Amino acid sequence: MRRLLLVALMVCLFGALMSTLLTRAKLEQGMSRIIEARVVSAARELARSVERAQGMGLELAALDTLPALLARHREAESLVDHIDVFGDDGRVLASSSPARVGGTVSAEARLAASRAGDQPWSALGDGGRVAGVSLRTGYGLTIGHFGLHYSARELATAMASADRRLGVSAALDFGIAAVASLVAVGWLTRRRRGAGRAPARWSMAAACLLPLVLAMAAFGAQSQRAFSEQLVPQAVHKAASLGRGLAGLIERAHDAGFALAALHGVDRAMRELRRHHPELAYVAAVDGDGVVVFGDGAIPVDLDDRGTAGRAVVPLVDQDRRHGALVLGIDPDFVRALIIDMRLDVAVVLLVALVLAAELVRHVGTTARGSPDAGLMRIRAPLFTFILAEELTRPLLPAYVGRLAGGEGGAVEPLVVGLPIALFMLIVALGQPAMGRWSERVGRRRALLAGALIGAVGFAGSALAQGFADLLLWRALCAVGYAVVFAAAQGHVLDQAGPAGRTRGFAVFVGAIMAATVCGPSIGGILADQLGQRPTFAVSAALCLLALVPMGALPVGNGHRGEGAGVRFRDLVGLLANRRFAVLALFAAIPAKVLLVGVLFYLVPLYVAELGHGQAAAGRLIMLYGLLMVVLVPLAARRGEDFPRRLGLVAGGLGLSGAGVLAASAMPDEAGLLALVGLLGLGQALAISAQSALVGEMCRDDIAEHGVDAVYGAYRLLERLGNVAGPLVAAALLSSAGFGGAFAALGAAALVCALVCGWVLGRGQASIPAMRGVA
Amino acid sequence: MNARRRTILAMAAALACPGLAWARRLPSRRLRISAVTYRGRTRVEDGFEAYLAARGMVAEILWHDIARDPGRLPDVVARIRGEAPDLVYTWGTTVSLGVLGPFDGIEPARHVTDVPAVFTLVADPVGARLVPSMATPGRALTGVSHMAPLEAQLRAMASYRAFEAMGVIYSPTEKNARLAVAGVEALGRRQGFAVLTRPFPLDDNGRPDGTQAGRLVDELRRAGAQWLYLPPDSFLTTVAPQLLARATEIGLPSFASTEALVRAGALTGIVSGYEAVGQFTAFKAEQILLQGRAPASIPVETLSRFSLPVNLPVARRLGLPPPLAMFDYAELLDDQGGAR
Repeated sequence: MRRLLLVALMVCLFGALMSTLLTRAKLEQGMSRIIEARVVSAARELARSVERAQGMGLELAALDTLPALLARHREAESLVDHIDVFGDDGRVLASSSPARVGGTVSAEARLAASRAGDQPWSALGDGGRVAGVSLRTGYGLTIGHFGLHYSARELATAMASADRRLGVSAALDFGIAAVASLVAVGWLTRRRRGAGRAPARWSMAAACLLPLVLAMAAFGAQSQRAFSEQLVPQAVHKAASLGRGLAGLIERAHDAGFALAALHGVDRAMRELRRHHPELAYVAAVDGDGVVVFGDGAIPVDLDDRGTAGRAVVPLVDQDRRHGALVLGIDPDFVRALIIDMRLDVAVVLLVALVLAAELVRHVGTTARGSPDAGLMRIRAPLFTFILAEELTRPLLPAYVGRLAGGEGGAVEPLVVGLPIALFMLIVALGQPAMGRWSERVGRRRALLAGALIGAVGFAGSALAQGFADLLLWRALCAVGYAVVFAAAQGHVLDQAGPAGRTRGFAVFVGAIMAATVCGPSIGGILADQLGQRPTFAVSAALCLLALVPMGALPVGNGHRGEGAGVRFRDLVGLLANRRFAVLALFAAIPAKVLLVGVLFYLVPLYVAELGHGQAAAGRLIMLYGLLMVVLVPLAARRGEDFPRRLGLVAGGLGLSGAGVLAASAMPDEAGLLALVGLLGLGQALAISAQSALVGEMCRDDIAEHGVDAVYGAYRLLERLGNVAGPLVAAALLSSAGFGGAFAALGAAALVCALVCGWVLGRGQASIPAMRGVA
Repeated sequence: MNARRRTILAMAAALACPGLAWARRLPSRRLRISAVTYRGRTRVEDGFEAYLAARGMVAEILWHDIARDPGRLPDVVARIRGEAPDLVYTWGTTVSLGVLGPFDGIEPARHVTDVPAVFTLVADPVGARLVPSMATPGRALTGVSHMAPLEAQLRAMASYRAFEAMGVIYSPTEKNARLAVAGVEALGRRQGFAVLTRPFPLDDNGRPDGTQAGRLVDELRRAGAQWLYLPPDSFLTTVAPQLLARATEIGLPSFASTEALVRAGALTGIVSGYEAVGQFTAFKAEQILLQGRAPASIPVETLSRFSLPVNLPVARRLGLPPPLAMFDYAELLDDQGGAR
């Protein structure tokens, strides 16, 4: 009872923390973008006036009006603390704060400025941020960089007030939800106990989750209001800054002798402005009588040029006489567009909370003393936690490797990025049988503890890695830990379930892994986007340490003989001499794994980044794959009851996977990516059980001779070699043919393999009775 | 030879003979540059000297001017030989060809061949046969062109006012002009606008006749031209003031390919700032003199950014203000001839 209440609290806490973190991060991101846009717009204005004043000579310092110009522009934008002009070497040549002349700007600012070309740039400065533009000669030589330093003051003030609002909302909403969960769980437990039954797992999970869902909905609505309150005024400031730029041009035209009404291309300039700043609902120019002369967007009928909430008004002045105004209206709905992708993240959090609640309720329910499966089920929570640690890193690993290997902004060979994934798979493939045997010798519990510790060190090292070489080492440690935990947990399941409960035991084992596959990548992607890649690895390390607690409570566990007979080379060769097994392995099992690891774990995260999305998006896609497996594998397993159907599922599934990968090459956008992951998941889910059953069916003689463990051990080893080959093949294709080419080649190869497999094995089927007759 | 190998070789040379590398960095004697101009000092030379001064290069520049008379070139070449300069500087197509010769017709007796050279303000260095290609001059010279790519010119024209038909007036006797007209026609076929061409008629001596210029403008207007494009064309430039006055009178906007044509009264155009051209030329001179790069490996280039002057009086008379966005980067010229 007390433990169930604890579960309810933990799930609620998880939901509350993740929702608040996501909302706050999104608000901060939106706000800093708007503030940065304001500063960049001011920087552009400054560069224009310098260009006009100076006529593109060589030496900015020769422009004696420069200090006054800098001071005037600093005054005009309240966000800006000071403005520097600096050279390529970062030395400050002129500044609105004379004391800064002769000093240097931050290395980040220098780097960002030197890389930006004609685009505005922004970077971390000393004690705040810097945004700016660069002034170059007509032949590309830098004349100088303008760096506008702005402090985090405005952002901090806004965030502090937002934090108070969000904090109060979150405390209220999730507090009420927690109490409601506790009451519901308590009531359910007591009622069930009164009826003499154990509480049903799903009703318990619902009791935990329903209040959480309601609280998240309420929190979402409240936070949208907080977003509007904080962001709309900021957007108005930004609109005023953009409006001043436009007004400057109109004034220049006015000076040149063209009245406002006679101007050309004004609406086009307004349309351009709205295209770049979608939060602008409309831009209008009104004359001295308040009549709209030019406009773009949904201009309200009762437009007047007085400043009201949600709009910025910039007067058009000629020699102190106001002859009109620009009115820029903010679309109050822009906030909604801003938080749409956050909604997806929140939905993911809910889904993960659901799985988590189910896992925890199961853990509490089945490991209670006296429960029949207690020994078997106790492995589930630590296994889930440990695998979760690895799954967290899936969507961010390729980008992290690229960053470490390439340094700042350098291009990296795709093969280098694929190497750590391949190494991980290789260690797991080759190490697992040995680790199984080792864990048998030292005891499952000790092996599990050792594996989780090694994993924790590996993840902590990955979080702190300084370069490609040491990351490779840390990833190798992670792989060793993974292999040990995987093999020891498998051994534990077999020990506890015994030969009779083998199927049931494997269901527990696979269930924990699948649950982690669903939760890990999505949460990992969110964490990486919001906290950064290194902290996400640190979270993984913490999860490994957390897994130590339930592992310590496991039985010592040795003396039983597990699966770990090991794969002897001789057996493998003998098996491959079985032509039908060889065809199945080479044309179905290995290609399926090459696709899975090469495409889903390697190409997809890189491709998602290429399309301009965050790591959370990559995590959601990998989660979608996991979800499809969870839902479809049991369904597909029921369909494959005889050889032709199984073969159909295997070949058809591989074909579907291939078609999905081909779809991504044909549609180079998000839709193609979705088709890829959907079809890949569907195809793999269809094939996975049928393929395993086919091995048993086609290798009856081999099983009789070598034993079922040796045959399946060899089969799994071949599969895992496919895992190793996957990232290497994908990387080689990526570096020679790009994403489109890599997808096309992998998809086409999978289709060919599916055809070969279906045709050869399907044709061979007719002759089976005859062969048996001969035997 | 790739850049890395070059660096390694340079490093090896520096190690073997440190004194040599040092000497190249800081010349032991003052650098001497022999410069030849066509019509006296221009803002190109201002830019050239300003760049050298800004980079701390001390050079003695010996000036020669041919005062628009190519007949003086042999004498200038002889004087340059006597000066034994470190670099030769030549202004414009006529001077550059006269001093340096075409790449496929160098005569060591007439041309300076043993001194590295930079040319400047040559509209079409390949067409003029100064170099076989812009990317690799292939001989001991490099330089700077001042012409904006034709496509950029037409883009600017269309963004001022969109058009479906444009007219061109040119001298059929001038190669530069013929090349430009062919380029415009090719772009017209590709981008789907009509190009109406009116060559100047030739007189009995085969020279273009400018007396009919006003009639040509009227014809183009009647045929439906919405812009008048003025290619680089020396003869056209001499008759441009009258021709452009007529165009403005009948409401035909004009687009110039050179600064001189803008000064003659075209509505607008894309031109290189002469000062920037001079600076860019000095930048190439610096690569040769201080960094020791072989001129043959330094590409001939044009500016990456050009200025867009707008004659405000013409714009006002035509009732065609530049589009608002153009006020951001246009160089506004008013009655006094100054920029605003």
